[in-house]
Amino acid sequence: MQAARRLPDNISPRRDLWPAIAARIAADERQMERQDRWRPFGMVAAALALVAVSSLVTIWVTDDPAPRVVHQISPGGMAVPARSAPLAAGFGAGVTLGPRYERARQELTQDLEGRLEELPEPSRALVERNLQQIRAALSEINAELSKDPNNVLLQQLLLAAYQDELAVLMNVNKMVQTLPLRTEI
Amino acid sequence: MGTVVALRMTEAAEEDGVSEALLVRQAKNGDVASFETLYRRHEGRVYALCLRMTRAPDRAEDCLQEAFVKAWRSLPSFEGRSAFGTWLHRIAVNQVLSLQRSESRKAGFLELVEERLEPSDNQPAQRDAGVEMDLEQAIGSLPPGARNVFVLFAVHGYSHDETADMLGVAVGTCKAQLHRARRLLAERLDR
Repeated sequence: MQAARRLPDNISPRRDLWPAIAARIAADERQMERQDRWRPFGMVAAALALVAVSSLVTIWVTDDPAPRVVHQISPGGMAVPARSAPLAAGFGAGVTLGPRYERARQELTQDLEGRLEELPEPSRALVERNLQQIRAALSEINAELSKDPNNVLLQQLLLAAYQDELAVLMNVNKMVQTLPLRTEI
Repeated sequence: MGTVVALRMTEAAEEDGVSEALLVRQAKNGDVASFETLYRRHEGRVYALCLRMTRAPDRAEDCLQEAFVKAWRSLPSFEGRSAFGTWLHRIAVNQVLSLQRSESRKAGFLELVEERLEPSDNQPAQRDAGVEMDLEQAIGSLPPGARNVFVLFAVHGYSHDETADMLGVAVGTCKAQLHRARRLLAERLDR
């Protein structure tokens, strides 16, 4: 180990390597200068590309050519006096009313008018008033939903209104079934 | 031992009156002349290191040249936490290791052959040559791993920690390689 320490730690290369190193450094410098010269153009090109891409993305996002899918629920068979226009319910993308609900609603509304006539006058008036209010609410909510189809609160309100309507229809059905028949009097 | 290296670096740095820190600062600002002065001050030590690690003057010169070009490119990141010479040595060692890695398959094969041929009492060709290997030649005949450690630790005076750090190995590995190098050198020099 001591002998190793005494070995010369400074040995000159066989030839002067500095000219080659200086040439490499100069080449580096020239390349850097070239890059510096083109850098402003590169930055402008990058900025233009960025603007173009962001514009395209904006157009793509805001100008969706495909119409949004709206699940319409036809209130066919509603026989309520003072009927409002048929309702179109939009629950946002991918949300629909269940088939069981729609079937029940159709069955109940189909013979609503006949059942209402079987009710006493005060009861019928009350049912009609309730249904009017619910359908007015449905119209308003639908109008708002058409402006903001993905509004979760509006979707929930619409669903609640449909459930209320169904509850009224079911109540009418029950009320009629509990009335005594003329033959029983 | 690291202190010894630092002292030697400082002596070399101040040899012609201009402080190394000033030269480094000027070189960092793009002054090629200052960098040339730094090159002239350090080329011998860096070349000695590369030569002992590579065993071939051509490859040592390539490593020296590449190390200084890389040093120039990396100067902006040199913060002066170590001596400039130590920093340069680190770059040079990395360069040599990179070269060794690129030749690793060949080198591994040669190392294997070299060790198999080791006890050469029954090999007349080597014994008959009758040439005593001097220490330099013996170092050159070491396997790369042991040689790298021996050159940095025993010849250039770096500590185990510094050597291990430069070579990217554990300190334990460094010590084991040094032990192996000493054993092989003792065997070869006793012959």
